[in-house]
Amino acid sequence: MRTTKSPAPRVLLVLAGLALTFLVLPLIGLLIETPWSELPALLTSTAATEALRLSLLTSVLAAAVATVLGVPLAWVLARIDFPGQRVVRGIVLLPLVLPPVVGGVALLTVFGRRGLVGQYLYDWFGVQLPFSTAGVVMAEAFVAMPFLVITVEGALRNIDPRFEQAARTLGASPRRVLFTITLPMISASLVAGVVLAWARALGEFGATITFAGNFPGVTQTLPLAVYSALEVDRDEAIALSMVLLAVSFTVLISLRGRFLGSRS
Amino acid sequence: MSVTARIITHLGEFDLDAQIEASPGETVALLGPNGAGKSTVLRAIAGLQPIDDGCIRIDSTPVDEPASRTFIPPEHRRVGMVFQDYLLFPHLSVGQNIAFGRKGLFKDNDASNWIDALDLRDLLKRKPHELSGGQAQRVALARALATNPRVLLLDEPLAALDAATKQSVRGQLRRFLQRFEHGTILVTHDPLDALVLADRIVVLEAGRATQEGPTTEVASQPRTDYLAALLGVTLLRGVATDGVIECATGGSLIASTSLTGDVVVVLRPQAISLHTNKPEGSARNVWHTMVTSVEVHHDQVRVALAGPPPLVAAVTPAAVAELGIAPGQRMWASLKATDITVHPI
Repeated sequence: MRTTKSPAPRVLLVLAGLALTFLVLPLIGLLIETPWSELPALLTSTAATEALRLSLLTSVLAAAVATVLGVPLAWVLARIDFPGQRVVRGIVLLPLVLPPVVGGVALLTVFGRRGLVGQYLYDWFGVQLPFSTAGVVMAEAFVAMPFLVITVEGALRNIDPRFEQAARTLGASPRRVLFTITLPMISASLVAGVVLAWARALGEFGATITFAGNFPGVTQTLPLAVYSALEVDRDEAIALSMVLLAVSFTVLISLRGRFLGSRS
Repeated sequence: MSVTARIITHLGEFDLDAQIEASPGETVALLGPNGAGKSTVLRAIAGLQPIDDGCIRIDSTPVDEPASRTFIPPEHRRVGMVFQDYLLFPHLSVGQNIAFGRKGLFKDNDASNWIDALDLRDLLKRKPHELSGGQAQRVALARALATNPRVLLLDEPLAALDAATKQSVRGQLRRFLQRFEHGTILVTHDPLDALVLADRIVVLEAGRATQEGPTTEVASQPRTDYLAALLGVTLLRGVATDGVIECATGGSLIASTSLTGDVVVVLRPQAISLHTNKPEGSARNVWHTMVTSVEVHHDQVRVALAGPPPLVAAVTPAAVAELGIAPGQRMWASLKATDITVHPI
């Protein structure tokens, strides 16, 4: 059936076109400026492979940390009514809007050498988190976890709790219900949440450079390597950027059902 | 095995206080309008809804008794529950659904027997969304039975089915329940389900049991306005042979049917005429019987007749006055064979 649409105001069309150009032009610029012939050499340089390896390692670990801790948090937020729930949810989602550099500073105040917790970690165990690879993982998990929590919490609210009740009447303990009914039933959202968290961790810059620094081979992840390379070798910066762009594009495609509105 | 429950809960404005029991092999129907608290009773027995007061016993062992702080969680009650919309786990196959409660002991004879008894062997590899309503209902039943439950709870087991499927599934369920050795509680708002499936009926209205008794008695002698209006018709169970139906409540009826075997007879109380003298005419069913009670329901008067079979006739207040109908009086009653509808079960 045809619906009657009001004609689009011309000014809107012009501005919409401008917006699209603004979003697409930089990407086209990146593609044009990419030194395609030198790409293999640039990407296999020691600095590039180091950064790539470190980024993969830390982002996967950060996504794992965000999942192992974030799923239980999402479950508590979705299923348990407790006083101050709204405040807690607000705090959980804060890193979504918090400038990452502030997150990095906040992590330093707690886990730094003289931080609230960090001083004891150092004094008692000799553990120093800032400026270490573990620090990179922490910074990335800090910014990535809210993505997982909101995705999983929404999915948990959407499934009919009576499926879980049916499983209980069939003799399943609450833990067995969680692993055999609840999590499989939200698997699509869980995967989406993990991928989103991983992509956010991979692109993390502000919190990482603040909390973990920019040491090649130890804390210099891809985004940091791009930033450093820009000052010495513009081609290498562009080549590394292409890697991140390719990853982002792949993530978008794999989650297209969620963001591009196509329901498969 | 049996269940005995006195269930008292307060859900906001709603107040439930009901007593129900099912002895081994017995099927009890909990009949009532929406919001009467029927499902809450089942959820309480299953352990999905703790009660505020009272006591639920399975085989005389308390499973929920607030006074003694006893609460056995649902997974340890061995209560089989079939939900209204079945709630088959969508991510598991039919076989995995049925095996869920067995924790992998799928080779167990019970589960295997139920698969054959409920004719599910060919469906084991399918996913729930590939099943018809009747198939899903059988899978839900098999899944509950595979845990070897001590009590079976059926929440509106036929409500999600279309009319044609409902009749055949109702018949299957009846044959199954007749063999089932433990107590069964069946929640329904359909009097036909209760009549076909249950040995006893408990009528639940606004959180209270308003009538209770053997199925045939409750169905033929509704004592509350709700039940009378719900039934509207009189339902009788019987066995048909060559157009003659021997009623379970005694007596027989002549109907225009070619069916043989177990049947449900449906007739409207308005179709029964009352006379002071033996009626002339073509009616095939004529009795001389005693009036046991006379009750006014809205604009009509329901006259209970001793039978056999015991029946209720609905007449106008004018007819009551004209014929001088009163309890204890003997009268003639007539009913045409064509006014009797017969359903197989």
